[in-house]
Amino acid sequence: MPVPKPMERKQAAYSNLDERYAIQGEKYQGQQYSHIYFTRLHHMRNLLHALVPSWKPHLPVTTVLGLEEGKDCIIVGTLYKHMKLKPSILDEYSKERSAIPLVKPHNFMHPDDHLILEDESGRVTLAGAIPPAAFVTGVVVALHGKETSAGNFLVEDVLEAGLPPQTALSSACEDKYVVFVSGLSVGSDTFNPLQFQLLIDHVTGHLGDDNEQIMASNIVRVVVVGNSVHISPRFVNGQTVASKDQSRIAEPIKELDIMLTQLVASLPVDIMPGCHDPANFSLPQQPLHRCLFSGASTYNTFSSCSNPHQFDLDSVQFLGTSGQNIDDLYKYSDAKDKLEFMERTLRWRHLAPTAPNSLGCYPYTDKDPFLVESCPHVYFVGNQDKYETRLLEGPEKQKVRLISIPRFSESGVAVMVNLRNLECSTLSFSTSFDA
Amino acid sequence: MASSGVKDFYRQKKKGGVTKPSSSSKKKTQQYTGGASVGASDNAQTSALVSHGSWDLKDDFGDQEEQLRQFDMDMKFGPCVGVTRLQRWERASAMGLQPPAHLRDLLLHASSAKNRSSDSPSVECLWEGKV
Repeated sequence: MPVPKPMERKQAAYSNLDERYAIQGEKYQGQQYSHIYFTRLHHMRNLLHALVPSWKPHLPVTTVLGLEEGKDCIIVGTLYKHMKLKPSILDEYSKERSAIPLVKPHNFMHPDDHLILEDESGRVTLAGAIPPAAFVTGVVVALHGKETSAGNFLVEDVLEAGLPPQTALSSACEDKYVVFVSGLSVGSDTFNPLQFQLLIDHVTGHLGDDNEQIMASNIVRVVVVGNSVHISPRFVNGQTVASKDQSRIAEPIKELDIMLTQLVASLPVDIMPGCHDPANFSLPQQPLHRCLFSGASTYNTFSSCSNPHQFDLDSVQFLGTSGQNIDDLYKYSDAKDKLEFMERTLRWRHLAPTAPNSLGCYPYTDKDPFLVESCPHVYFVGNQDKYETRLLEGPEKQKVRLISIPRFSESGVAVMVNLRNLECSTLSFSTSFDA
Repeated sequence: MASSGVKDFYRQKKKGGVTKPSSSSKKKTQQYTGGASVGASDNAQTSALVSHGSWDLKDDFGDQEEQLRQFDMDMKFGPCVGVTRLQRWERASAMGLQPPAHLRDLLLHASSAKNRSSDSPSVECLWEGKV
């Protein structure tokens, strides 16, 4: 019987672009968040000033302090959304009954929310054609309008920076796939080890006949997008852990390591931290430490990455997060679906505008690493409720594949993207016949 | 900690600092002496001060420190608290805001000076240790 020719997995040129999210070089001097807002405003204002002439060329651009009543002009600044229901630490000390209900709602919006625009010279309350529900604190915009006698700024039109420029996708002839999986939650009640094993076996080519194996050999990379482990809350609530429980804390991580080792033995894997993983809380989350992965980290295909994560594969630009930025937008604003939130972050050219207001963030002094300078080809967000995808097209021929990746432990769904044409499909794994 | 430090700069100063608005409009943009335009006193108050003649102008820091304080207070270069003056200068320069070049030399000499007498300008911003 002839020896079957071994199938070779395709490869793609990989470039990790996470340097901007590294905290290693930063030195904390006790600074607060004013600096990050200053750099954000400065950077975005330069961008917006360049766009104003093609938007409304005949109007003067002025600062907030330079506003004159009744005069039509343009102002540029950072938005602040005043929200009645936004939780405030001061409520704990307030003696009077407030509007905050005892049960925390998932979304803090209220019809009375209003927007304020702020620059270095001052702030002004906004009214008019700018819906508070669509915006959040931290977004930098240009506004056309005029000051009213009441001291507000009546907005006539809003200018956002819009999608950043994108390098065109080079035409490739081969189909190469990247698999995204998120919310594995190893160690939780919803984790099904068989389901994860099925995914691993499929990707590594241990499942199916030749056709399926050919499909698997076209997968060049797996990206694990956050919340890979779930440590029981009773171990992390501040109480001392009994000695018999101490070995149990690390069990989910050990189990994840064993499974990941199977994957990394076969193809390159990127793993990002999520909000439930043993990594720092504030963004950008630093890569999970190699000591957590005693098995998988011995392979050079193992890559622990930051959250947000930016990389390019065969010059296709990828950018994504484990979900905290979009989840926070969901709490403070309204949109028809998660993809619309994602689209907004690209139009605002900022991954996480609510940081540091309601999203934990490192107090940078001289940069804002969440500014999106060039448009990615694939923009992904993990740990979402369901799988959604759309191809967003920009005014300068930008094409972005927006992907909302569902939690694997709940849905059994992983996402596959074709590098050649940005087409997106799912890999669905189930271990019960009645699914 | 706050006692002697606060006395230092609540002292009235005639030179620099607050600029007199040249028109009666409340919201006038500042001229760059480097001063903060917000909180500018109005005409009547300033002329009253001037009419009383000179007062204690001899502060215990020199002209160099004064220039650096103007640099700290200038909103164009962003917030000053939480970064050293040199870091703020470098940041402003990297952003293309063109901070005065002589201040950088001043700051480099100040940080390398072995004698930290009360005359030599400080590396930290004027609010350091006071807020």
